[in-house]
Amino acid sequence: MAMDTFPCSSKRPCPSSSQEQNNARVVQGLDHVEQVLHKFLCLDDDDSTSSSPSPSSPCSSISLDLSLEKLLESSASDADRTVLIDRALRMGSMLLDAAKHSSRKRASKHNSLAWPLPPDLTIKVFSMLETQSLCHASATCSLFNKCAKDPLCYANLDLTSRVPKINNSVVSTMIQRAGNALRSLKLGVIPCATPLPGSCQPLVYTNRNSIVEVSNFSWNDKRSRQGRESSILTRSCLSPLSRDGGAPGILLRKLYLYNIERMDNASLGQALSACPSLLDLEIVGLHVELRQTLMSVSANCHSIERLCFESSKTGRDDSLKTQTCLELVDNCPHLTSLSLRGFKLHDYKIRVLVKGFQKLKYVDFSTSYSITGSFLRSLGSCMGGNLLEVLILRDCMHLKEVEVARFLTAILAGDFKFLLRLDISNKEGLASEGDWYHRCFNSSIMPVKQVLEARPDINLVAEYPAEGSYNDSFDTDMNSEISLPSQLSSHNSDRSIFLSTSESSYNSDQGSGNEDGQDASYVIYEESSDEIDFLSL
Amino acid sequence: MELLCIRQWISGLLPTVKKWLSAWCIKPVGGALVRQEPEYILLALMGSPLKKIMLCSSEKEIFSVEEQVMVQHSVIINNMIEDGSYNHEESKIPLDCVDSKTLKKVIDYCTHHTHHHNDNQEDLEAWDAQFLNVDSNGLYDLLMAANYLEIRNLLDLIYGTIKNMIKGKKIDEIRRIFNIKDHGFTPEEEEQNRKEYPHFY
Repeated sequence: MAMDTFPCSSKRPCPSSSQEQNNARVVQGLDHVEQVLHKFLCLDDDDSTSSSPSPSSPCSSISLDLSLEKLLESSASDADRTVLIDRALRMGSMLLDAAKHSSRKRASKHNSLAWPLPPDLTIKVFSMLETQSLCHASATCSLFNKCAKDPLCYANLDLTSRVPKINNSVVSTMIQRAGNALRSLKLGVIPCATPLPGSCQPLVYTNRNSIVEVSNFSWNDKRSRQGRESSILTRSCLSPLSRDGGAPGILLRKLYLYNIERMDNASLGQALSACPSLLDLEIVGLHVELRQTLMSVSANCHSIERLCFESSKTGRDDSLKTQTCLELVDNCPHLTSLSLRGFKLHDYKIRVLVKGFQKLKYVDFSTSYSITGSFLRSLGSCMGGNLLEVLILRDCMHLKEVEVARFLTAILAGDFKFLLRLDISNKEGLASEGDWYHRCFNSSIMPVKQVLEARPDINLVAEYPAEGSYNDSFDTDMNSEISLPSQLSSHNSDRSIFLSTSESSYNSDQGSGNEDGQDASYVIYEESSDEIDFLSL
Repeated sequence: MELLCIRQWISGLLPTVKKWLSAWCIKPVGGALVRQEPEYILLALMGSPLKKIMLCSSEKEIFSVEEQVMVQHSVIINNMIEDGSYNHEESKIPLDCVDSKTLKKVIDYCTHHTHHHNDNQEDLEAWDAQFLNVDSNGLYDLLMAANYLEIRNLLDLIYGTIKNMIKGKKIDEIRRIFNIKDHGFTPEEEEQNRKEYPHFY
C-alpha cells in the first residue's frame, strides 16, 4: 500500500490507473495526492479496488473499520500501529474539515447567486424586519448573518415574549449592536398575544399562573448562582443602555417594560438616567414604586410625551406624593398622555397632574383606588383640563356616582369640547355618596343618554352590571357574583339630579327596590359652591 | 424680482393650460412630483406635452419615454435634465446597470403611476401587486434599478414586498423561499448563533 509514501506529493501528473476506465479523464492531470484522494473517495463505487470481504457490498464504516484493522494487524510493531491510528485520526479530521470548508464555499457561491442584492440594500430590507424575523433571517446563511449585524437593523428592538425565555446576554448583544441607532426597546413578558392599545385588561403577569406552561423555566434559576448565567432577565438587564458612554440610550425614544420580576427601583432609575430623549415610557407589572419612578422621569426625561404605568400590586402602591406631582408637571411640560393603572391615587394629587400638564389629551386612571372623581370638578372650564380628548376611568372602586354625574352634566353644559372618548364603566357599579361599599348605578341621576344625544362625537362607554341585578323583579341575567343592595339613588338633602327624558326603560325600576320609598324620578340638581373651595390648593 | 413676476404670470396661466391639456387627456400630477415649481410644470407641459427622452439600457436598447413621466419619479433623471447635461435632440441617457427587460418594467411603472395618479388607492395597489408578480430574480433586478434611478415609491413598494416574504417565517422557510443553501456557517459562527439566540432554535 502506498500509505507510507503519503506525505510526499509529486507535482508531475501520474499515469492513470488502468482499472478505472470511467474515471480516466478525471484522474489525468491530477497530482499524486489528489489521485489517491480520488481513489479513496471512489472506494464505494469500485468493487475491484475495494478491500472489503464481499465485493458487492458498498463501502461502509464497517468495511473501512475492517480494512483498518487488517492494516493494523499486518503492521510490524505496536509503535507502527499507534502511528497508523494517529494518522488515521488526523487525516480523517483534516478530510472532514476540508469537505466542510468546500461545502461552505459552494453554498456561499450558490447563495450569492440566489440573492444578488448588495449588502446595503440587504441591510435596508433587514432594518424593516421586526426582531424575531431578523434573528431567523440572520441564522439562514453566512451572508444574511453578516448583513444582519448592521446597527440599522437593531433600531427597534422587540424582545418581548409570552413566557420568560430571553436573558440578559441577548439583550446586551442586541443593544450593543444597535449602538446609537437604538430608537425603541420593548422588553419583558407579555402574557396575552398583543396588548391592545388603550386596552384596559391588566397586562400584569404572575409567575405563579404560568409556571406550568414554561418548559425549561425552573425555580432554581430565580436564585442567583455563582458563575451561572441566569436564563431570565435580572435587575441589570438594562445596564447596556448606559455602556459605551451611554451611546445606546442617548437617542432612545420608546421604552416598554413588561413584567420583569427582578427589576427594582435603583436599576430602573439608572436606566432612565441614560435616556434623556425618551418620549414614550410604558411600565407594566414591575416591582417599582410609583413615586421613585416618576422622580426618575422628572429628573431625566424632560421630553417625555407619554407615560403609562400599571402597578404590580394593584391598589397597594400609595407612594405618590403631591411634591412628586408638582415636580413632574414642572419638568415634563410636553406630556400628552398619562396612564396610571392600579395605584392608590388621591383626587387632589391627580388634580395637580391633570391641571398642570398644559398639553394633556389622554388620561387613563383605570382600576385606581381612592379617587372619587372630585378631581374632575370644574376641570373643563380652565386651562390644562379642557384639552382632554380621552378619559378612561374603568373599574375605579371608589369612583362616586355623583361625581360622574356632575362630570356628565358639565359636558352637557358645554365643557370638554375636545372630548372624544369617555369610559366610566365599572363591573361593580359606582360608589354611592355615603359609603363606597354600597354600589349603584342610577341612570336617572347620570345623564348618560343625554350626553350621547348632545355629543354624538363622544364615544361614551358606560357599562355597568345589568339593571336587573338591582331589582328583584328582574330575574334574567343576574350577575350572581355581584350581590348589590338594591339602592337605586343616592340623595342628600342638598344635592339631587334632574331627569330630562322619560323614555328610558330604566324608569320602571325607580323606587321599586328602594325601601326609603322616595320617588326618584324628578329631582333638581344644584351644585353647592363650597365644594369648589375644597379643591383649591 | 423679475423671476417672481414671471412665476406669478405663469401661475396665473397655469389653470388655462391645465384645461387645454386635460382635453388632450394629459393629467397634471402631484404627490410623486419631483419638481413642482409652476414654471417648470408649464415648460414641461407646454413646450411639448409629449416631450420624450431616450433611455439606453445595458444591452444598448433605446427606450423612448415621456420626459415628465421619468422626471416625476426618478431623482437621478430629474437631476440630469435639470443640470442641463442632457440634450433633448441628441443624447440618450445611458443606464448601464439596468437591462432592457427591467428598464421596460420600470418605465411601465412610472408611466402608469403618472397617468393614473388620481385613481383610488385600492386600484393602484391592485395594479402594483400585479406588477410585482414576477420571479425573485426579476424582483431583485427591479429593486436594484429603482435604487440606481432613485425612484422612491417603487423602492418602498419592493422593500415592503421582500420584507413581507421574510417576516414571520422560520429559518427553514426563509431558506426555501429564497433558495438559500445551508452550510454557510463556519463552526465559530454556528457556535455564536446558538449562544446568541438560544430561544429561537
